[in-house]
Amino acid sequence: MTVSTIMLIAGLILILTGCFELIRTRHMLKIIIALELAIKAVSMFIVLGGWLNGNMPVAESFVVSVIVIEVVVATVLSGIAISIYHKHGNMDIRSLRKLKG
Amino acid sequence: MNVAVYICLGAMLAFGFFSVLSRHLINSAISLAAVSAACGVLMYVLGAHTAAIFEISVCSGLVTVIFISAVSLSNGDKQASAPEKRAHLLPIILIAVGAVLVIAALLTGFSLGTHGPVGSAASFDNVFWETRQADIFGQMIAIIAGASAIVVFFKESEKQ
Repeated sequence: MTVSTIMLIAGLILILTGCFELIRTRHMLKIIIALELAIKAVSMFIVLGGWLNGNMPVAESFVVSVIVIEVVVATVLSGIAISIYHKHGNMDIRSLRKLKG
Repeated sequence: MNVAVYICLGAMLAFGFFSVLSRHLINSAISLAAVSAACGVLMYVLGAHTAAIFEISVCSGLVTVIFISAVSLSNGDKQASAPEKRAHLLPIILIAVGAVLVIAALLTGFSLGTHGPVGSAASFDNVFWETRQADIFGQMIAIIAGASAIVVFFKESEKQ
């Protein structure tokens, strides 16, 4: 097996780990952590693609875009989690069902 | 190079599992930062230097600060400490899936290939600032939207 195949398998396992945590937990911060974990594997895949094709500058620009979006998603979801905590006293994702509007 | 890649992949998997399985949010956030650091080193080894710097500084630093701030603004760590009985077979399932993937790759002789020839002589600066200008505008809009959302959320919580 080549290095790239091993990286592919490790990335798939990381994505599965994030997906299983999304299924398992109902705590909003844990959900964000699971999403971040899956996004890390996707960033690794993009760099791996650039490394295999020999076109790393394009892959790097995509990874920078992914990182910016990742930070914005983490920030906004953390803000939503904190406002849910202030409103309901917990960070359970099921509390979102009680929102009106 | 291969040894560094294997070490980084092992660290990513180990800290990734720990961040998912840990019941304390602070430990999970710090493990996620370690995953980001290992991913950044992996990117640097593969030649994506700018992306590695972004990964280490932003994902390993800023996102961790955001998580720890969110935990400290609530008692989220105590809530996450409650035992969750759902999907307690998670580690066994993940190990089994990993074993199946490795065995399938070995049996079928699956291979992604090796490092290819350099496709373009353009630098990261040329690609980022000239070829992919639309991405920069998208990122600016996303950052402004995120900042506006945070302002709105904290205003609402202050009113309540």
